[in-house]
Amino acid sequence: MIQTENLSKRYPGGHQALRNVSISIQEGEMVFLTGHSGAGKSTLMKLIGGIERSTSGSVAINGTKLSSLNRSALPYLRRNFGFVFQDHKLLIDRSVFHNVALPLLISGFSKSEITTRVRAALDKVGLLEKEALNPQTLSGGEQQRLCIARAVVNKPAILLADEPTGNLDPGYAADIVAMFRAFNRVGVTVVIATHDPAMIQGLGARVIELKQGELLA
Amino acid sequence: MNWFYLRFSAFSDSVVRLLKQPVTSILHILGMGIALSIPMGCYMLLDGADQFARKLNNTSQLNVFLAADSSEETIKIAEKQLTEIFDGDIAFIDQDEGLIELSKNSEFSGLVKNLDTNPIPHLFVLTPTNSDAKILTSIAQTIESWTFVEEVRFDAQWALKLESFIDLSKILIMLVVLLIGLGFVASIFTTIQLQITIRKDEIEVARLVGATGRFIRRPFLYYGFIQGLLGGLCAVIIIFIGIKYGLNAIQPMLEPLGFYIRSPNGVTLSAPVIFSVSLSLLGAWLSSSNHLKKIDY
Repeated sequence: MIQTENLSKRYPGGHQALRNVSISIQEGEMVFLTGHSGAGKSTLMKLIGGIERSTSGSVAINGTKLSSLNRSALPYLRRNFGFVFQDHKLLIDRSVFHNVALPLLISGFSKSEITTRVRAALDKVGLLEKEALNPQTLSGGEQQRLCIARAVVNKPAILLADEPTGNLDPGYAADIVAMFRAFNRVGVTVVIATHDPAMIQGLGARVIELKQGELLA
Repeated sequence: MNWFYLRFSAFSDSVVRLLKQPVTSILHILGMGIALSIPMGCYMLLDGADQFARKLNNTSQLNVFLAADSSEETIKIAEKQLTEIFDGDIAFIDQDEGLIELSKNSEFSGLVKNLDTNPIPHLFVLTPTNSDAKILTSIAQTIESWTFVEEVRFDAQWALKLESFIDLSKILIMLVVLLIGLGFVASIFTTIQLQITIRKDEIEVARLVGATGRFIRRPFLYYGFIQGLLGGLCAVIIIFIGIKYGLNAIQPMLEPLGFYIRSPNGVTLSAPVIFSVSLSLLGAWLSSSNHLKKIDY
């Protein structure tokens, strides 16, 4: 489902974030990308999600190379992904409900369908009763769950989570991991970037380790 | 339905954002209205002056004086040639008639009695049916070149100068409109840049969850459209107030001079609105496209 070949990324200024990374992730698989800070995990996630362009090499999603797509096609590709970020990227000028509704509004769903789907997603992450609140009033764990609800509301085929438990205490972190596991069980391909070994333990998922932008064997 | 909902959401969001900053929005719209109403008001004044100049031209005449020794044959030739090049009334006053007219003037009556010969030349008075000062000037120059013509007097030279001044003023107004247009685009560009900065996070998230350039650009275009529309309407209101309180006050003073300032019609009034909306949309488009180019890879 996700295939990278000799993927490299050099940022302006000369920093080499990734060097010749070739990986393959199957449909319905759950994979952890690990490595220390600066290993290139986030960069790899951004390249897979079509948020940044590689310097060399290629990324293919279901056989389609991202480099072959023109600019106007990229937004449609991104709709196949659900993104979860360490800093949540929630919009504080709107309610919990409207944060989750944004991907559906963008995809052109009707108002009634948006309402149904948003409530279902909020129910899944246990925030249904807080739909009218402002995200700022939620705890760190709740904010992360809200971010997950927004990521899955569009029923994406691939879930990309970058350090999703980075700022959470162990109890909340375990809840979040369990949620990812549940999504994976219903067929969603899940890729999680983390530097936290505790998160990986006992899940039986494949681990891809990066060090200074290179893949460790 | 989804199509409508999507656009309605973006439109209502833009309205809310305008209302959230009432003072800034009102001042900006007022500035746009004033900037637009000034050239519009100048145009109305010039239109009045233009009508005034045309009226002057219509009452103007060409006086063609023939050479002193012109024969009957020459007079006939002159009349024939004048008929060929001139559209309007041609009246002939021969030298005897001219002398009688002169003697009627008490100032010259004594002088006329003492004359041995008649010094008054034969005269053709040409009254144009419908002609402007430029055409009359050209005709006067042609007639003056004829050998049997002593002199041509055109009494509307200053009307010609007024017309030239009006033409020049129209060009100046067009330049002012052009500059105002550029100012409009720059102003909306900056306003939208500010809105983009305020909504930076929203744009980033929208982009991550699959928003197209069109989706991201839409609320900014609506924002520009609303501002342009309100700015144009503000200009119309200012013009109306100007007519009601300003024009009605000065019109009685201008009327005895034959100078009328016409109230603008629907087409004229729609011009500032169309101008304002179009340029605001252009500014919003340039600004949002500029930002999209920066954030899209």
